[in-house]
Amino acid sequence: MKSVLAVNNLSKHFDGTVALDGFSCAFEAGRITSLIGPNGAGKTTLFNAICGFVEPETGEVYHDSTPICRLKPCKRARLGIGRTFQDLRLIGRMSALENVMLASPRQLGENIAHAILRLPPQRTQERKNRAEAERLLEYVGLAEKRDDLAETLSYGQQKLLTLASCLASGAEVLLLDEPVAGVNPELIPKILDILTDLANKGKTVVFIEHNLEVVTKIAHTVIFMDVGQKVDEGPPERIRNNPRVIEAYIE
Amino acid sequence: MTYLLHIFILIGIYVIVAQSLNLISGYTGLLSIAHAGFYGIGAYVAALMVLHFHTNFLLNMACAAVLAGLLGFVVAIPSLRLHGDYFVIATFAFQIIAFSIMNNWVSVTAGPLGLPGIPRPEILGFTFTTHVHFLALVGFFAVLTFLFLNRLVRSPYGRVLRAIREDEVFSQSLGKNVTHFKVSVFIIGAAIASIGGALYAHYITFIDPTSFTINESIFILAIVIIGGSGNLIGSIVGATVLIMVPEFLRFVGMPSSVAANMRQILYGGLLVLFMMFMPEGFVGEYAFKKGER
Amino acid sequence: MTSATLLVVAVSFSIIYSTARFFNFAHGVVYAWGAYFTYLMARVAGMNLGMAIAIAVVGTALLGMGIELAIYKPLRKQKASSLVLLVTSLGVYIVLQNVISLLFGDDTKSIRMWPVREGWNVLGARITPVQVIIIVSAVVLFVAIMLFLKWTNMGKAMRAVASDSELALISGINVNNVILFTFALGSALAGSAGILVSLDVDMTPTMGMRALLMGVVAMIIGGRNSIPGVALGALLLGMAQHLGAWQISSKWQDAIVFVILLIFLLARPQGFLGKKIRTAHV
Repeated sequence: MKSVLAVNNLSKHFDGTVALDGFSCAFEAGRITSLIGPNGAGKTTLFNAICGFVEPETGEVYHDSTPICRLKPCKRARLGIGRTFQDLRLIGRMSALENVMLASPRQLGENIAHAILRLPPQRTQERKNRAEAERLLEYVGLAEKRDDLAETLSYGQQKLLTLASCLASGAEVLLLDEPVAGVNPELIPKILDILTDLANKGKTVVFIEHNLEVVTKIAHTVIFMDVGQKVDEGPPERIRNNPRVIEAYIE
Repeated sequence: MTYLLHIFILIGIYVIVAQSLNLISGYTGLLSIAHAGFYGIGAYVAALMVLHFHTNFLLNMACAAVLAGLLGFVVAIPSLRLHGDYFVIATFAFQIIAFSIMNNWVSVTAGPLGLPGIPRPEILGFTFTTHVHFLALVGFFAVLTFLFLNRLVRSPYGRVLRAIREDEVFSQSLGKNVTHFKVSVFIIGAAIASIGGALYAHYITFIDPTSFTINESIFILAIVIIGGSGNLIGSIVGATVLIMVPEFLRFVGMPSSVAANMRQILYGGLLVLFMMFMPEGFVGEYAFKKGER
Repeated sequence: MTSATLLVVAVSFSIIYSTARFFNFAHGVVYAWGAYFTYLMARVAGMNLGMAIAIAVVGTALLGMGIELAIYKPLRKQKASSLVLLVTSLGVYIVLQNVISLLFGDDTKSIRMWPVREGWNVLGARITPVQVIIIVSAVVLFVAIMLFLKWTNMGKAMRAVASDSELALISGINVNNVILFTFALGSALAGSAGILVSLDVDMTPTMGMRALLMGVVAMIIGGRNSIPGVALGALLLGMAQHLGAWQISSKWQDAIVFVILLIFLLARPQGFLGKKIRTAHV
């Protein structure tokens, strides 16, 4: 199967500390891959390198076999690479609905001329955008929080909101940084269902996670990282029994 | 009565100028103290064109807007690399440079002597001679720019501006070309400020560099912050308060020389107080308080 | 302004920047107040110049401390960003500068009470005895500050807060007191510089803005987290101005200085000697 997203030999140092060390891997459509590893293993740095927020010293990132290291972050995002952040980035001063509407791609209204003239095509698109955003909020279970400011939502609700935004962006590749960490246990099954559903629909899902139970439940492949290297890669059952993994998680 | 009209004309001009800074600083979060430079360019270009070429007022205003827009583009560039207070220092530098050009390029701007004898504007044969005429003219442009900016900020474009203000990185991760938005916002803001400048030049009929100093930039910023950042109505409120209250002082008998200083103490003092206790201003929806991400 | 006084202004500005972590534009008017306090004591109250200067220096220290306690400290408590502090300091500058104008008028004033002498010829330039005194005093102040920062406990505390205020706090340093002291010291230095400059040229209420801007430029060019860097920046700037006055008409000096500032901000924001600053972490 051809990979949708691949990285080859990525290396990155920060002030002398190794974040990525010759890391390579590939992600395929319709599959869920989980990245696990101790803190400082380089997982978030990997996401940053893929998205363009960090420039690797060596290596290349490929999207549908095309190298994208020369592209700015916003251009890479427009290729269909969506992302959530470990420190839960969203626009707190906008309502949940606005946050999701913001994420919609190729909005005519973001062009100045269209913004001023407000011709029918733009108005129709905005209406559609709003309807889709409402549908997505419903899908993640945040329908009643529609008009509430994002900063007033609980941590778990905010996580769901960032997921909805990611979906609204139409991203085919979803890079999720700890999508269930800190979330109310009642909401976790919901999030896992959504991720599985997305993969079934053909999206490429990659998520960073510390909770091995969650990982085993939905991941097709697990990659174990440490000090910027890929230590092991395979199905969850096998990785779980890798002595180094056990050591890292008992610690 | 003429005095009252004079106040309203000034308020009208400052509403135009403050709104344009609100777009840049209030909505997009790019705090700038270079705005008197754009305002000044509008005044100087309009004045020079009418004095030397006797060209039509609207044409002059359009030329001023184009030139100011170009300068806006230049000032926008550091905003791509510098953030927060470092970007403010850069805008400071631009303001000083702009003032220096106005003051020292004597062959063109007549330097400190200024440009006297700017005629009242004429459109299609009609000359806006009286205060009432001029108030109508200023009012027209104030309403026009308000409607334009209002459309802009309530659109998806405006939504992206507010997103950039709060989190640039997140905005990029959604595919928004932050560079494009920052640059366009500066170009538009500068062009609109220059419209205010052109009107000012034709109203006061004499301009010199002292009207476009760093203090003036701080004054315009004070209007935006005190009135309310991120809300166009705020700029109307701010302009009204910061122009009417000092004039009121003059009314109750304070001598002219003292009044000028008191006016500055007022807006400086209010700026400090609002930043400390009410950073969102009177009606603002954004407060410059917390750090950036 | 000579390199020497610019050096004192730049250093006084940078110690406040490195501990309180913001560009304090009110510093410019504190500088002016040094001169005007002296004027008040010497001309209006009739004291002898020495007494007047001593009181004025104390006065500016108190002024700086007052602003810190009344305005910046409460804002810091609210976790205000350095941007907010900068804008607020602009407001403080406007208010205090206009108070000078109100009390003393906008016309030029002077604290010189001696005839202007011709002075000697040194390296092709004319230099008067007063100017020599100014330069020597400024250098003495600079050396004193360097020694203070290096050898005294408070000086070390200031450097600790400048390098890592959280670490300093954990180590038991009262950061707020250190900042307060820095404001006192920095303001006294700025006031002294204002006084020194006024021994040679006339005073105006807006004299501080230009001094401040030169201080900011010196700090950014030289290296904002390094005192030797700031000193280097001040010296370079002073030299450039003297040279520039010959080649390019002096009226364009300001514009050129600020173009240089922009270049540094964009190409090398840490200045010549500063350490590279960490960019935003994603």
